[in-house]
Amino acid sequence: MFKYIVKRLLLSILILFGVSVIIYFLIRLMPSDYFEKQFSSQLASGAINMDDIIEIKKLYGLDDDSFMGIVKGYFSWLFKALSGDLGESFIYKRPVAEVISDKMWISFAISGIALIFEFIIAIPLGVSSAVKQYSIQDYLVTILVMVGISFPSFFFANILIKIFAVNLGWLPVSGQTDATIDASTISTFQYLFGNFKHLILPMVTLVVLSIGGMMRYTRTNTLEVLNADYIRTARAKGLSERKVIYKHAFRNTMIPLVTTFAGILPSLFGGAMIVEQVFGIEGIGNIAYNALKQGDIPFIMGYNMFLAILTIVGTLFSDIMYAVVDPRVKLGK
Amino acid sequence: MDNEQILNKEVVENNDLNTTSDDDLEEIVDEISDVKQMSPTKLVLRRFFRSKLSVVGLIMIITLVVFSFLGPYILKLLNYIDFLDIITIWGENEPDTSGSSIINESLIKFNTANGNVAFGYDVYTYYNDNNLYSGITKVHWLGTDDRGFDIFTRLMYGGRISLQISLIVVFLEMLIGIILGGISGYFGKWVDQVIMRIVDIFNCIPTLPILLIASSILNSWEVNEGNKIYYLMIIITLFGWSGTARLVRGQILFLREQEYMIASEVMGYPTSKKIFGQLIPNVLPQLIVSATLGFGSVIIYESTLSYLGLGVQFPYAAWGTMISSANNYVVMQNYPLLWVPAGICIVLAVLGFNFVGDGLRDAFDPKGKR
Repeated sequence: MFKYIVKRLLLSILILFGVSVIIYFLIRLMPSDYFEKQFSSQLASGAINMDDIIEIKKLYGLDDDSFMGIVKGYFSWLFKALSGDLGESFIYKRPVAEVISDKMWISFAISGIALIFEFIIAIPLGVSSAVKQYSIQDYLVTILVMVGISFPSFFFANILIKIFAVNLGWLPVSGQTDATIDASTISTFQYLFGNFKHLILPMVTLVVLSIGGMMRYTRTNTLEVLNADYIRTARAKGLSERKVIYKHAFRNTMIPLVTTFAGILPSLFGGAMIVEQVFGIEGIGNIAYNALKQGDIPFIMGYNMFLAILTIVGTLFSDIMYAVVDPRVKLGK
Repeated sequence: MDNEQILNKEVVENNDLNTTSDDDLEEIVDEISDVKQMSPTKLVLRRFFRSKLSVVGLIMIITLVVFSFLGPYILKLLNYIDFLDIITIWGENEPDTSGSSIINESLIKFNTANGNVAFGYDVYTYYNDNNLYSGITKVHWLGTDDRGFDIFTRLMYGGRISLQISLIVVFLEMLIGIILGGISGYFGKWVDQVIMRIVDIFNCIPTLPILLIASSILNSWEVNEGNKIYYLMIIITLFGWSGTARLVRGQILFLREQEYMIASEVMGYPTSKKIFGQLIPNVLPQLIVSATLGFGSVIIYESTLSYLGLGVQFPYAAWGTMISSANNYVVMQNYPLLWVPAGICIVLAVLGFNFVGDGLRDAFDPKGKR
């Protein structure tokens, strides 16, 4: 087990290196006239000239766009990143790690609560659909959740805004706080829960879009378990159907759900880019989207590496957990 | 002799007891031999068409394909026999130049001269050479958009982008996935190690951010909008093949240990025959299912890029771009025709592929009922 984890961690370093190379080179190919745009007024007024801008770019290792220049820029980024310094975000003028840890929690709150609802709704639906396979209820639930996963997030978000915010006027259209409240004077707690109604529509969007996958997965697992020999044994020894399903079958259907952890971890902390953007929530996803649009290279690098690490940790954790909860699974191949 | 008579008697008695007549019996026998003779493909197709959801999905997809690719031609044909005079042919980017006036009123809050807050309606009318924001009329079945283009027509052309991209991307992903996954699974050892680490790397790259980066590079190159669709296909394929490769490899690792592979080893088949004759056909069921479900996700990625202004853009129509008009608050509030039909088309397409994929999965499942 220990040997397996060490091996996986060593491989992870290799994978992260590959990921960072690909992302860095792609980002450097992006049109990055951030500094030219930023200082355009000073340039026009003659306060600074092009040489100063090149000087600034040199500071970030962005002055040379030739292949060797990008390679040099990559290694200077890499060595800094290895010493724990992800650089300073162009837009926020603060260290990238600080911006990420600052904006992460609002995304975490939204997707965390959405995730809880997802579990609460999807698992009972999946189990009961499997128990009553091919019934009207099974078909109805299947169709509904499949419609749910077929929506593009931005379309569903816009429909929710149109109905609940514009037409009915129950909930705010976008943003995170009421315009009347000064965001700087209140605590984080108030910020999150005093303005909870701003977060309802984004959460509903996330829940509806992701419930389908989880429900189908639970249904398939339950069907598999219900065909197992130990369920037949349980029935044969005369247990009530209730006990068979909720005690013997249910626990075993939960085992494969551990594997979904691999996908959950990045979505929990990484934010939902499109949903946050449509609803104007200042979560990490929206920040990253703005950074992408404006060419904030250090932030994009930091954000993508953050996501890659979350993916790796999530996958590793779910593999280990799978072996822990299911003794039939052997690690170390 | 006695025994035989008794037996005959028993048979007669049995016949009396059983409600099964000879005709019924023949039918059952027919059916059993029918099942025995059915080829696996036929069996899968039969199971597939038995499920209502998969048939509905198939109909949805066929309808959308016909609508997008043949729709304009069908309309032109119908135009010749159009007695009710309800068909007007519009081009993809041919504005209706009949002119329009748009009256816009919105509730506003303002401060009066003596400092009180008052509410009132801000009403203004503006004229345009083009017929903008027309509602549902005989000329425009779904109205016109903010440039005076016929929405129904643009829906047809927009569908071409989504469906074409999803078709080609999924095909390319399958191709790369089969080749790399096949090599990796079959040869094992260091080849497997190298390919699987590459797969791991691509698997860890966050898809949406990287697609946004790649599309904005594309935008900065200022490629011809008409050719952009091909570049988009390449980009989406490049960051999407790793899942298929992993699937194929896993499947081949499993199949390699099966008896018939040992048999083909004994028969002395060449490697290529073993891979393409034995292994690939056995991986295909899983591949077909994952490809069908893949269509839906590619359509969503493409429409997301279009929605964010990074896909195929004006003057070409794309479903995602059409939805992005909802970013304008006035459009979102007053003109749902501009963005809701496009969204419904996307949902129908993705849903259709999901239904078919799900149906195929059940149909291919050897544990499923006949």
